[in-house]
Amino acid sequence: MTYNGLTDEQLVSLALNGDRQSFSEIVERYRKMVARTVKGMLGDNVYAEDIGQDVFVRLYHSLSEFRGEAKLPTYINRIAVNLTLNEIKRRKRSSGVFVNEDQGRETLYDMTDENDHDRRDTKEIIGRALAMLEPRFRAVVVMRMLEGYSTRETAEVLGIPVGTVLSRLSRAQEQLRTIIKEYR
Amino acid sequence: MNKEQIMRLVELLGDDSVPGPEEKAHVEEIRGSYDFEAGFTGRVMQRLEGMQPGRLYEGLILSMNSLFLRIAVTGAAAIVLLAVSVFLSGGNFSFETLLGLGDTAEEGMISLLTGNY
Repeated sequence: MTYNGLTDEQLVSLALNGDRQSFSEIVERYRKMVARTVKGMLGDNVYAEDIGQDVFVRLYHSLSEFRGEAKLPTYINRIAVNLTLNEIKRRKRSSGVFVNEDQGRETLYDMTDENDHDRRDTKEIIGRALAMLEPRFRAVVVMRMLEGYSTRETAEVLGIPVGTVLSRLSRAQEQLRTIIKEYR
Repeated sequence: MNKEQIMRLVELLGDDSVPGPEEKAHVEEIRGSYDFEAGFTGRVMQRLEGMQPGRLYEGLILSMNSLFLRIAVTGAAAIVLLAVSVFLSGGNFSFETLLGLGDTAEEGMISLLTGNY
């Protein structure tokens, strides 16, 4: 049986009937999306893999609650955002392991000292710039820039009104402009 | 991507209209660069395989142990605080004072217990 031709709903239905292979296909299908959300918000570090796995484990255990009101990727991304925000809060509380704004700023300056933009990894530069944003701003930027969601879809994933998304985007843009302007 | 191109993507954040082909290519370039280490799906499935009912039960016991430990520590801290408070307000630290029986006369206690007022 080939799974990659099946719809999300069919895969969910098979997984609920105990078909592990169909769940494996769901993981394969949305692995990169979860990586963008988790790594975009948390940074590309050792914790990102754990959170990524947690997202799918949580999804597996909550599949029976998935009613299909939202699309499966939206549902998965909602789990990813919530788990990542929890991790950010936990790390901030427990230690300075997570890159804080000042550390991120320092690292961005270090990276840009070479004055050779083309060789630099765009992903890493954007990642560092994102790390300087407050988590709630970071979440909306990741949804819009990395996931390509519209403002309405972003609101749906984050569970906030569209107006709040727009105001957070505006604040995030201001901050990112300043951060990137300082980029040499 | 240079500084101006990244800045252009930032400007597009608040705009729901479809980006131009150049911006679209840049976004795709960034989006495509995110992934987990090879074998991620296998590791997730392995984790799920490991979550058999027996193992879940073990996990539950471990989390209960940790919960009971937290409750015990909190309870011990509360008892110490109570003892300190009793000592500060009563001036002594006998067991009766700790139980709130410091000023209760024995006769009063007997009549209270037997109901002969």
